[in-house]
Amino acid sequence: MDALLKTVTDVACAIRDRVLPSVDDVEVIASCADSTGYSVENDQVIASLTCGSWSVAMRAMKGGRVATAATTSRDPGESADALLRALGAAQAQELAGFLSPREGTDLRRADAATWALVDDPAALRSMAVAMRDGAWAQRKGVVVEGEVSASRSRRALVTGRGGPLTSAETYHGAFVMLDGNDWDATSSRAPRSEAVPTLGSALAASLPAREVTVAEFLGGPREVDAVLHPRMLEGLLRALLLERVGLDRVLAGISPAKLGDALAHPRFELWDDTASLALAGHASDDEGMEGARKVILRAGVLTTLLADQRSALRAGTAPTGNGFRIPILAEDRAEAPVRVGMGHLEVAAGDIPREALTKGRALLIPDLLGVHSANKSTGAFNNPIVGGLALEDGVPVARLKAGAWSATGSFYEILKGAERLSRERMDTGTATLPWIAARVRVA
Amino acid sequence: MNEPFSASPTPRGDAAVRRSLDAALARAREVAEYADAVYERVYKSELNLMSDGQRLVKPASIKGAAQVRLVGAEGRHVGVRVGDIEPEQLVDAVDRAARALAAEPPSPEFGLAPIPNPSRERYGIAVDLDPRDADPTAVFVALADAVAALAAEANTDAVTVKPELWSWTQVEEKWVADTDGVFKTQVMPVSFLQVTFRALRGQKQTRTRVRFGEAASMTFYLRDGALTPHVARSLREERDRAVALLDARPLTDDERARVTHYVLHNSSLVFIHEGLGHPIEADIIRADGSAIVAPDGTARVEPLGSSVVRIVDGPAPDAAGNPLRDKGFGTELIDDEGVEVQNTVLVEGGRIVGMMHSRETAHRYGVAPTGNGFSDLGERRIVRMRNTTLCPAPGPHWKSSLDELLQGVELGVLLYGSLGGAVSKDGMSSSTQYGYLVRAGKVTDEMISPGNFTALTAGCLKTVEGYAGEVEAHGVGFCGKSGQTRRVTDGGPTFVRVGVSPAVTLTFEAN
Repeated sequence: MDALLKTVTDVACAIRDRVLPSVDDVEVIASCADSTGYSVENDQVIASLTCGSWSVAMRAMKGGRVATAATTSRDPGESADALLRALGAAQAQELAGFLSPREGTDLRRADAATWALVDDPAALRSMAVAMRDGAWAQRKGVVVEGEVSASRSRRALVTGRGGPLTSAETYHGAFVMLDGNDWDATSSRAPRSEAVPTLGSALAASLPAREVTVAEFLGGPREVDAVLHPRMLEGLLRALLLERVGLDRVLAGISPAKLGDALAHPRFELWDDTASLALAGHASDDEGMEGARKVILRAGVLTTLLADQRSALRAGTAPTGNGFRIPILAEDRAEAPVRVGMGHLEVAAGDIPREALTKGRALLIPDLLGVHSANKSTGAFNNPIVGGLALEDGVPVARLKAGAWSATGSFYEILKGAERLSRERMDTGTATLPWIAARVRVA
Repeated sequence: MNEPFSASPTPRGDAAVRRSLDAALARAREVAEYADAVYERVYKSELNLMSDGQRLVKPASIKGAAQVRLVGAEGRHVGVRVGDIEPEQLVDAVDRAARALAAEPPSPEFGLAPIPNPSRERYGIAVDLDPRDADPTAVFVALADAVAALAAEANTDAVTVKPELWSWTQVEEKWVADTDGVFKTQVMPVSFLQVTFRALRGQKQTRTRVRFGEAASMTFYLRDGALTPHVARSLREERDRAVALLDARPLTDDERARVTHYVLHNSSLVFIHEGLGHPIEADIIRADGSAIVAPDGTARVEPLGSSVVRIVDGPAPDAAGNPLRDKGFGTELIDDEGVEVQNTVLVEGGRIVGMMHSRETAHRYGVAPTGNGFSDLGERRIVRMRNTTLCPAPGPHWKSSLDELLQGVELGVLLYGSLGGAVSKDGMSSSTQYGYLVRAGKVTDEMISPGNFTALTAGCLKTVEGYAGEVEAHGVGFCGKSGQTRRVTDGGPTFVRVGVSPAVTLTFEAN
């Protein structure tokens, strides 16, 4: 697709070739990304460009010990030196060796139009302006924040045993937030040129004018029927269910789950697809294993524990291709350890129209503030609601007053009771999920 | 304030970086009226002890990136992040930014306040255990061994304590230059230690987390192969509290109805950062994103807090609340625009008296920049906090002991720790790790389970009644804003007494 794709591959191979004579095996992931974005800060639309952002993640094995290093350098010598220096700090690890990725190029996740869009700042800027102005046209005086961006990345993975597996990916997306509370987003590998400009106006138009407190709508704190938005469902699956179905967590004794456990209602079917062509799928995981579509929950029963190479070896099972360098807090992806993560998530649709999921007074909850602080061992959450609508027989009648609502519940209990699923599903870019009915306590 | 600048170290490869920045700025002069650049490079050594026992030592993570900002006619402006500091890559990036600049409409209100003290070049703190030269493996292995041993001390037949550890030490080097001839550099050592203790008893599991961070090397945590006394003491306390949490309980409905006060330990003051710091960042204010300050800079809530509230952002404070220029996990000597970091009083006597500024927002509001313009490794420079603390003025509200502070509290909760917070326009939420019930002015041994502390920005400071203990920037964290991450702290006196009001709420997860 461009000369830089070859450069990235050459850099990865050069690092491997410099390090391999000194070690038993080596694994190198080199990548380089460009992006163009525009932040919307109400009256201002601010450009933000990235040119040639390099990232190199490396591991080497010698005598059963693993050394790790990371750089942001396109200089193979600097990266190789960093990895060779790390050999002195190599730690014993249960890892048989690195994989033998196939040699080839996977461009299925690179959309040519999005690739070109990165070089078209005027087009992206006009989308950002239209997104904001559309919201203003619908709701005079509303404060609009958001972002529109497009990016392209090239990646090469090579080990001492195989590769290079070269790939390219694109991303185009936008999000918009109104008055710091209600938000919407769209993202895809292909351009969202029609969806992005209307994102602000559509969100503003969907919000009722009236806003209510807990006391006004429900008479005070109480348990209530709620519809969980697909984005909230995705957030809870990634933040909490992963803590239960990751094989590394099971081996650490943090999760009590075992295959055959009934973790959800029989109507709840969940797949994990690391081979997806959508945003959460890749040519391989970060250990070189090509992706696959797996059933995590069949009829609510746990059928697959997600595994990276190390946890699979320890448990004597097959890896599932879910080893990803998942950064936490201030980590960069290249320097993050390989952790078990999820790919594209999919939950089977139900048979209930979305507006019929609840009757009487209920809530639509799209997001929780600070859901990362939820209790990963019990699945309990207790967080302020961000956005949200008051429903009467499934029809929005008011917005939830900002900062005035919080929701308490247990996601693991919600999953066990997840019988009422909408027949509609939303593609969030990284998941395809229905709306689900649940009971939560609000205050 | 002490003055650590006299022996400011020079970053390595200084001449080569200067040549690259000069090349980029020379090209920028041809396509823009003004340009500035920041290049940051970080050399990090890191340790992970993961929950499954996996131990990773990464002695060499090397990362760097530059940000070049072009300002054209009529306030048009564009920034570009460049991953490579080679001159030709920087020049290519400037050319790409110039094309984007051409797509910009006029922005006549845009401008950049001048960089104060433009002739001073060098800033920094000497690095005494430099990971670029000394292999940190032995230090990290000793640290992991010490933490694992400390956790194992608490194991019994019924209870297992599992530690997780994340620690790093890094040297941060920064260059700032512009087309007016400003050239400044900074070298900072920064180290971090986070330990999580998970206590497991059957199916029940609890956890506590403690963090340390300082503008210093790893000797802050480990000396001669042993944990330093203050770190060892803290770790033992948090380990024991993780075990004790197995038998903790939430407040009952009756207790919640009768509680009159929350007493916040300075490990649980993240709401100062989330709820009061962010809404006083001038870029958020300008975009009408603050619930407490209007875009024209006038306070929307007057007063914001009780008369004893005083909030400061800048260098970390000493025990009395005075700035210590070279201490604190959030500390820098210059920001990423070359502005020397100021000690900025945000709230005084309960009233908003200042804002945090970058050069851009300082120009907008016609004031001097405060040294709050930071970027996350080449990203766009935005207004960020540093060490944001409650630093009260001396007075009868600042008690000498917790016992004194608790006088008159019939039923209260003493709250410790946080696993993180989040902010919206109107308020914030932060987890609390544990608490103790206070009855009739005395702390009991009734341990309260993790909860969620919610504060409405416009009202939560109005019931701050007093303080006890020394000021410390205790809360070490990583603040996310606009997709960027930055090391920060929050803090205040050891204990802060807050009266119950509709603006502050403590809730508990379902049992």
